[in-house]
Amino acid sequence: MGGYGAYIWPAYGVAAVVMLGLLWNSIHTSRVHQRELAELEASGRTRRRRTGSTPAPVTNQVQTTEDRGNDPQAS
Amino acid sequence: MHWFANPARFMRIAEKALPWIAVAAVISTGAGLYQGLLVSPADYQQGETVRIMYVHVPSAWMAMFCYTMLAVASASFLIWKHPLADVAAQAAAPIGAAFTAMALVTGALWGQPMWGTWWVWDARLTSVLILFFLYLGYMALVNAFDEPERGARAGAILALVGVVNVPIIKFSVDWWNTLHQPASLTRLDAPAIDPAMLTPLLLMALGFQLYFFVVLIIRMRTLLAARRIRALHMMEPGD
Repeated sequence: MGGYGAYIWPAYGVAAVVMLGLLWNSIHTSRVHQRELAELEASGRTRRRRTGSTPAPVTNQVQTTEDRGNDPQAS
Repeated sequence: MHWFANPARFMRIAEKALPWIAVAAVISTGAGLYQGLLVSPADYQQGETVRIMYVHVPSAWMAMFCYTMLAVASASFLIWKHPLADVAAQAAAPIGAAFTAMALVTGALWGQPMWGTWWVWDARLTSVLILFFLYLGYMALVNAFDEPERGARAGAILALVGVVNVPIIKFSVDWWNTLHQPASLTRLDAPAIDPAMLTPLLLMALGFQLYFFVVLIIRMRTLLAARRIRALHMMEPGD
């Protein structure tokens, strides 16, 4: 490197460390968030099943008088 | 643009493109490194130190590109309320800050052997340092509010105010006396750089641009997941 290796290699080294570091940080943070989201969504589904409030398709659904009586949200 | 306004649709397309962009980034950067370090000649004046150009110049270009994108996304968020614009802006900011830091450090490493100093308070270097602080200020401001919407708005306004710095960086070498050399590529006449040096420079610039898109997609995915997590927490009973 013509005696300038002490300047050239650190320049490439800094670029590599910064770019790979940012990439690693981005992937790691993404994984943490995806995992948390998946857990939250799974626990939400379980809770809805337990409380029996799973949102059913509304279209073509006929509610009887008895159903409405059990449904606190029915007007 | 409206077609991409649906976050789920955008992420579906982005996720499919991500591996291909990543492969292209690796190939382009690899070819650029090979050309820049092994094939391209030393400069007749600057000797081997010219090889620092292949990381310094693409970093500086990306630093300005990221900020321009940050400002455009912020304007889209403030004016049209585009639902992905603030996510794109917040995802781009750390990448821009990283490229700006790289441009500053590699510039200092090039300046010491060529100018005899690591740093000089001239217009080009100082305006790039201000750009770095603008990125840091934007990131701090966005995260300074409990309500994310208010943080995004405050950050977007700062991003738009700071965009005045981008043309100052670009033209600082023409407007004021400086140690920094003027533009070699974006000139009205032909580029003042030999094709043997231009090839690795453009390959590295392409690699950095593709790297930007890879990290941008990953960070946008994270921000969208964080937004959904917040929404789910708010829906939870008893919260």
